[in-house]
Amino acid sequence: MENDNTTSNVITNLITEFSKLPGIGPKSAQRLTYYMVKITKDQAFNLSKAIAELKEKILSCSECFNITEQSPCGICSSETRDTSIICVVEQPIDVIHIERTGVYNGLYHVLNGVISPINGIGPENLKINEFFQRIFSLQIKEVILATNPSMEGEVTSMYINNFLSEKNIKTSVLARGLPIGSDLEYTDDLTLVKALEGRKLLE
Amino acid sequence: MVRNIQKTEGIVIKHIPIGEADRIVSLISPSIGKIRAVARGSRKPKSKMGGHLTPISHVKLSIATTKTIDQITEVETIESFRKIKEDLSLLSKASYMAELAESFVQEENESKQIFYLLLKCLNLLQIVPDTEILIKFFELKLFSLSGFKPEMIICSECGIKLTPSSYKFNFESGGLLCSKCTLEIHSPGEKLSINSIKLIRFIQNENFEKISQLNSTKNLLDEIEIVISKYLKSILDKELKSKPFLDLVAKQTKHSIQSKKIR
Ligand SMILES: [Zn+2]
Ligand SMILES: [Zn+2]
Repeated sequence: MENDNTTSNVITNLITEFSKLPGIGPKSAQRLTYYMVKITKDQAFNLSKAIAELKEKILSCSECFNITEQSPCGICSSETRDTSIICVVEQPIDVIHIERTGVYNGLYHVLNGVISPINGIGPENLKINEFFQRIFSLQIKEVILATNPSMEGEVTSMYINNFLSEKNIKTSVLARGLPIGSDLEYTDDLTLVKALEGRKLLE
Repeated sequence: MVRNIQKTEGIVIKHIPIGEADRIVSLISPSIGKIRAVARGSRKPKSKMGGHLTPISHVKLSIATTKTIDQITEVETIESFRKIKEDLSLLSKASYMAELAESFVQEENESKQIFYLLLKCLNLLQIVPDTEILIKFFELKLFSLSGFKPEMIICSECGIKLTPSSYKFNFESGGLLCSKCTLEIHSPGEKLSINSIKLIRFIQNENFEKISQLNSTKNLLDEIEIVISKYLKSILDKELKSKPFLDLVAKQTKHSIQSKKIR
């Protein structure tokens, strides 16, 4: 990067902070920083205030571990949601995506990660025990496992399913298969097998 | 930039997300040992590479050497080990073997034998009924291939030939100790019964087809497991990350009669 004589410390600091963000490399960090030089004081203040507020006001829901401004969150305390069905997701952002579809009206449980044996992440590092306790106290009838179709996501689903299968609770996973807009020619056989298994009759 | 493209095969060990849509993938290959390379765009749903880079997959790939990190330019699955991936117990074992193999392979070093040992054991994992003894087979063969073969014939301290009996296994010297050396050494190690010693020798010398015909080895395997896991720790000087999950799943599958698969 630039040498110390020509670049101010203030600039370098901001570049360093930006490059810590996901998906932002040194080039983008530089571009963002020089963009910030040009914005108005108000804009800059609003941005820093929004970030500070986020850290002050956002907390994790004591029930479902989604991020929220009040705990329990809006979904957990809602009276119109179906409390007999629960959808298990990896991250808070997954809740937003599923909510946006508008086709699901049950509860959620955010695991805050996935089991990854080779990275040393086991069930004890996630909100899995909390989930097991929750399905009993809520008398859940159906569980939807909506972890990602990655190896880690599948391991996590299998682990939870092993537990649930002994408890007589209906369990399903999201359909696995070909992403819309993909190409059969370049699809790996595991995805293809899942897509074949999950094929649907045309009406 | 002049690019040097290498074609090879590999077993995917793990990957970590990086940037917006990329992954850094770790593999082991027969020709160039440990590989760490970036797969650009592989996290995008339409990626041609994504699905092929799942951990515990045998793949064919092209790698471009660049100034910084190597880059995967093409990848195609040879074997996806579907049965392993649909069974929690098999998957916990496969993850353990993969991590173990990776710890013994060096970067940019030929590692044909370890590669083919892992490949063979992943294939066997999908078909053999007794996967406990398969793990022991894998560990002991891996020790032999990487210069850590446990000494089971002579005393690993003084070299005297051992008569059939039970002996202590010493982790520093990597083998059995005669009764005289056992008394002289401060912490001699862990006891192995005469039958466990015989079983270890048998596994060291035979192929899996013969080993899988043995029966009633359960108690011996438990004894051997203690010695091997301590020996491993002393060689690698670290705990394997996938070991706690392996132990957890093993404990749980003992409780429930069968682990049901997701259908
Ligand atoms: Zn909540
Ligand atoms: Zn001796």
